[in-house]
Amino acid sequence: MFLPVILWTDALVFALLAVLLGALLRVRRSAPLRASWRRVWRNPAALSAALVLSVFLLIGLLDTLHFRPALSAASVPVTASAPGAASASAARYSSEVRSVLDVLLAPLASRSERTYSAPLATHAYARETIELPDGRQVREFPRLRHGGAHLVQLDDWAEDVMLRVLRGLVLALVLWFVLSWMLVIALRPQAEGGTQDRMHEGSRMSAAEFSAQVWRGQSEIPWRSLLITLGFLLALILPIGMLVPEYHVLGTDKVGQDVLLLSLKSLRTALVIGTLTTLVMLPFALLLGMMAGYFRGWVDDLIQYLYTSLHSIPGVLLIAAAVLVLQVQIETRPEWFPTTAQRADFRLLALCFILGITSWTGLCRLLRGETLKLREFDYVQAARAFGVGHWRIMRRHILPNLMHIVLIAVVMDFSGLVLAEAVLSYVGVGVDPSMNSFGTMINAARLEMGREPMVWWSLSSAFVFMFFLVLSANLFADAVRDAFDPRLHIGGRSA
Amino acid sequence: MSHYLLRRLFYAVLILIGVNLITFVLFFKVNTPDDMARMQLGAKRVTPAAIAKWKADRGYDQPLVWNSERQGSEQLTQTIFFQKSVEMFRFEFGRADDGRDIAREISQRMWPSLALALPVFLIGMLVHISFALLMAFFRGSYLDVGGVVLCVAMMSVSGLFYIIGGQYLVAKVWSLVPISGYAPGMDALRFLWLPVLVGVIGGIGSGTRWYRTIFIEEVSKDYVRTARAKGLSELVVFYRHILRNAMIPILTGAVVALPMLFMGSLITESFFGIPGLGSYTIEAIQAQDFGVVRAMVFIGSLLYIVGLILTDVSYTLVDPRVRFE
Amino acid sequence: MHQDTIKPVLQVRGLRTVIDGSARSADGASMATALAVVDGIDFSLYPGETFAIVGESGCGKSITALSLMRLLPDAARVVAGQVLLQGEDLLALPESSMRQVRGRRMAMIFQEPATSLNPVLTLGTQLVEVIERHTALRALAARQQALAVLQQVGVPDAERRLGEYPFQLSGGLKQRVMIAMALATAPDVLVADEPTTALDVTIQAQVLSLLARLQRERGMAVLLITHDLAVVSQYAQRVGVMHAGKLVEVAACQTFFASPQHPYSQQLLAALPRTQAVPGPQREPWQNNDATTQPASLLQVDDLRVHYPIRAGLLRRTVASVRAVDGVSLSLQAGRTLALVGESGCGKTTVGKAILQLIDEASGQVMFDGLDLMQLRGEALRQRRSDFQIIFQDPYASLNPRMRVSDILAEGMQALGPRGLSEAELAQQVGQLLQQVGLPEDAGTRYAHEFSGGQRQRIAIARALAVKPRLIVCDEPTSALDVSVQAQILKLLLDLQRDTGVALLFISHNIAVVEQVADAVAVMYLGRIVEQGPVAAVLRQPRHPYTRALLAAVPTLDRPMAEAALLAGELPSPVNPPAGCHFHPRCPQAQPTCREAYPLPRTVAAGHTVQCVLPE
Repeated sequence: MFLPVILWTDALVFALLAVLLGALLRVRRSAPLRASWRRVWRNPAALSAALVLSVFLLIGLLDTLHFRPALSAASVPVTASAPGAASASAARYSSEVRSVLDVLLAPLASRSERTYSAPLATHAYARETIELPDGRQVREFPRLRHGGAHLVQLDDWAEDVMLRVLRGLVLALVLWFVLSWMLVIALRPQAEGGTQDRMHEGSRMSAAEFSAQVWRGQSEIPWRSLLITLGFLLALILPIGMLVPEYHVLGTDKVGQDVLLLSLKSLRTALVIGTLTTLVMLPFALLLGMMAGYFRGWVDDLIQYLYTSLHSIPGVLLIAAAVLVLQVQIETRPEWFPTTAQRADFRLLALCFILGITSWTGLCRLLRGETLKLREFDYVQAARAFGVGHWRIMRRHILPNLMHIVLIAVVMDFSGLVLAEAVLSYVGVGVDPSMNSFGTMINAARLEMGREPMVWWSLSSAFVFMFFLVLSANLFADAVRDAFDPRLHIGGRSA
Repeated sequence: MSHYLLRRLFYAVLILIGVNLITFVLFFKVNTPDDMARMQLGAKRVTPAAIAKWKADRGYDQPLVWNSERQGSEQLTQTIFFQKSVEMFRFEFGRADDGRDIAREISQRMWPSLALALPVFLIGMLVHISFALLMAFFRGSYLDVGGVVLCVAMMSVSGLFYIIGGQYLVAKVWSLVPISGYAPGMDALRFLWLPVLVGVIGGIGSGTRWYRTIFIEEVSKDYVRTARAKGLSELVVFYRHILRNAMIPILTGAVVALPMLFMGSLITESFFGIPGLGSYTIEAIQAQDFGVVRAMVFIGSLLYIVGLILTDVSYTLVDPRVRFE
Repeated sequence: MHQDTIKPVLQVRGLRTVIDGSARSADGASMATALAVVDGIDFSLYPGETFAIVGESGCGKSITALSLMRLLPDAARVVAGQVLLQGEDLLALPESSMRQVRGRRMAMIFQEPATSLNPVLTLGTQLVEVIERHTALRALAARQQALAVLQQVGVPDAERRLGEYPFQLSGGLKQRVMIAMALATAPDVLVADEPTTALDVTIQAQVLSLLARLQRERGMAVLLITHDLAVVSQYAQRVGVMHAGKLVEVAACQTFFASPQHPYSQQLLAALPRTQAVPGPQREPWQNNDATTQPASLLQVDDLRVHYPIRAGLLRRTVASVRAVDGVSLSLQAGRTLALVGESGCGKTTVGKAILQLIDEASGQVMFDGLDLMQLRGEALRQRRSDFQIIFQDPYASLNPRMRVSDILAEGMQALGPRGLSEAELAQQVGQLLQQVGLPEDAGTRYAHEFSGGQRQRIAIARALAVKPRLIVCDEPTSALDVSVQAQILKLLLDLQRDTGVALLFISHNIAVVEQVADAVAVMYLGRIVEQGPVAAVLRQPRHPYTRALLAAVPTLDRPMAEAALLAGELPSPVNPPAGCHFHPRCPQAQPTCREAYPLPRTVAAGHTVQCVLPE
């Protein structure tokens, strides 16, 4: 039925997931790491941010499962069809690469208008000259092809929208109760003896008792804030879900594409840039930083020289220069990229690498400094007294003690990279213009600012999506840093 | 001391050479001049003759590093490496694709850049440090917690939105200033104050938070407790003791950014139509003018390295521990 | 002791201080956990006396001091009690009035002189600041006063020092300046929180006797917070023992040391290593120290040098070197213990690490069992490494926090043990080791951070034992531990030595500990050994003036401190040590010849050598 396609960035995203899974297993087995993560989850803001982030991640992942749909027999040109065309072995696949998200959002993609329309509008945003059946020409706001097309009477618009939102809210409330209850049942901790009466024979705390505790904000992990966030998310998503079938909730852009669709598709780009960039630079930063700090001497001099040189080139210029060079390479070798999706994907990957090259220097310097400190630690000296080899010492004694810095760097870099993508795309050295991204959205929307009346919705959508993505990433990163940076835990901070 | 600075200078030259090599490899080795020519000329007009002419116009028709057709020292000098990379050390950047002299262009455009970047930098620092001081002084209070939340929220907004929002509100809705443009002399003020305002506000989130972290770190140090044990008031403790110490990382951190102010701001300049180096760079990138981009890379690195050396000097001036060693 | 006529200057009643924590109980219920660090204590401080609060780490003694000054960290707060300074309750004062008290009527000095002074202000500024705050003196007059106090606390060259920054001063001088700052306004009460813990023993003696002198002169009351009972016995008139937030016993010093009442006090005193103690039964086998029966040396170090180059200039040429170790020779027999004694910075730790071939810059000869380790490289050295191991000072820094205890113990066996050790064999050996050092068998599956300091040190000992070494370098193995734990660890080391016959090179600055564990002792000063010999000889009849001064500076329970024996000045820099005998600038008996050449070792008795020209 379909042919799975794994683009380069897909492969790396999967690799990243594998790494995360491995890390998860490690954390489960190691008590100190578990304790640190518990500290992260005790932060209500981090817990809420993680939920929001995971929704974004889910969308991004759905957009990462790529395939080429089989062409149905009807769409295969008859002239070319051989007798066995219907058989599976000769199935033909479309040259267009689609993702699972595309399939889910197909109704949105197929219902494009001619040009701009405001959110939830039933009519176009600008007057057009329309020929009436009697041959007269008038300038008026034409009805949209899809937006609110089901309304028989335009007066019903407000009522219809309200009803849909209301239905969505009711559904959200029901769903919230169900999910909350499931969460409470699943997360009930072991009841430990003592003061509280046990209502059940089981060793677990009763659900009622636990939910009361959660509600009062007394559970160890602040599940209350998670549930509140969940409530808000459901109250946002479900009404929109109710409106989507008949309206353009966030309006349409210049060529009539649904802005909600564009925003959702942009998420993957932002996430890929934010995560893969750090992933591809990590090996360099780790290896070089550790080598410089551990071996010192000329190795240190050389590595320091390398990263100081790279760092002294202003970031944007190095990126611009590299992307310019890359553009030349891509454009002079069209034979490398059979499809536009592949070309855009290659450019995205290359951008990750280029951003990675410019951003590894900071982490490398941090790691070098920490290694310099660690190598003088007594346990490293003890390992040396056992004659343990250098590389083994680095792997067993230094690397594990650097991982918290790496983790902090990864989460802290994420939001910066998402913001950088927008700027770079604006400058013209970002992702491929054919690729959906917040940068390209802003860039296009910027030109619409001059219109009278102003087209505000694409810009606002990009703003809102980016803001919540970056804000939750920032909040989460802060919590991770606080939990993993031992310096902050000395001397107990005030609450 | 002078030995130390000499060493830093020597190291700076080494780094500049490294930067130069990186850009040379990037622009002439990874990408050959032929590639550039094809790209610039467009697919339709690519003929060997056209490429040759394009290269000859720009002086790219020589061998990369060794000219075996020449005699003596010209074997080295009549090469792309010498003409395009080594010459940069003499601030000879050649001509842009539109035929103008790049060095001249840079020397003219850096002043508008400075006129924008310097006020943003100075006013920004003043504002951020004041806010940070206020938050650190009332640390743990609602003012502080609220301030931190606000900072994180402001940090989460892309710089582009600050510019767009500022232009929309101030220039379009309130029509207080022209949306974009520039004029020489005092007239520039009319065009500058909005971008300066936008720049300062855009930096509040990250700036304030950064300075607050520095102050908070100082607050927890032992000498602060000693100062309190003397019976000094909290205000004196803050201004005489904490601020003095915190100013060391703040000042030296600022000094490294100082020379970079000449480079201007890419985005702000191009949004507001200010003819500085930032917008020059953007135009060059969009027009794929490699000569200009290379020149800007060189200038940027040079300024950064000057910043590093100034940092070293400023440390010796501000920090008695370094001064007396 | 105190008649009713004398009114206490400071009275503490029912003081209770808690630290707020966000810790929650195991069942998930959040407790408003407020840990009572100081749990209702009462005491009085009389004019002119020194009252010592003594206790082990974490007992709440420092928090008590900070509570009195109302200088608690953000997370801690006083919840009950009264602090009456001349009848006025400090806890009830508004903050502005409290500021009038701090530094004026009640001053405080802290443990870490290195971080307690503002690094970017001159000493003059910091001194004048407190004077101007609390007196009518201004500008020049205040400066005169500052100068006067600096001179009183014995800072040499005080005029010049006023314009200097803290980093230009040594630790001892910094603490003197701290004292000057505290005393500049003649307070009624001085709170001294571990004022000498960060200082070397000779400097400690200087600072403590300075405090005692100033107290006598001014009739001020001193609250001394310390962990060191010996210091208490020498400087305090009354003592309060603090344990788990409570004062379990308050008594006059004489009665306290003669007959401690509370079981905890008794335990604390019993754990104290006594310098005059009779050698324990475990020392029996080595009591006959006849030169004739001495076994061959296991370790013979000759002319060991560690010079770290200092590079400067354009080309990073070596312009000078730090002579951390400058020609050290010593020998150690199998199964014996040699103690290496000296103040911080004398190079004793460097000697230990250089013997273990952990320092690249080392030169000289290190003969181990007839083989020069300095000549061994690569694999040949690696194979010998199981013979000599090390135990470090800081039990928190010496275990990798990311590894399980069993992995920590197995590392050496995997690296040096017989090839192809199976998992089961490893596990069995790890279990054995844990048992040997007195840890539960399930300790292997846990991480180091779950253990206390003493238990960690046991793990570190087990790690060294894992490869069955014949020599263990013990680098201050007990100085980071509380005194009761220290006794246990020392006993463990001695037991292990008896069972396995391992030789110990015991590096320490604690003379009492050395006397308890060592057979022989070598005293180091500025990279060289000034005197070495059998413990009894060196510690009872010290020949070198430095050894004598060092021994005199050690506070003990049993004999009073002789102020005259105090050593002046501080350890010179090892970059350019004084010409001739390194010790001559501080030596009370220095002679002109001392300036000319470093004296050669001279044997004064069997196995007892001293590097000094003094006849005796």
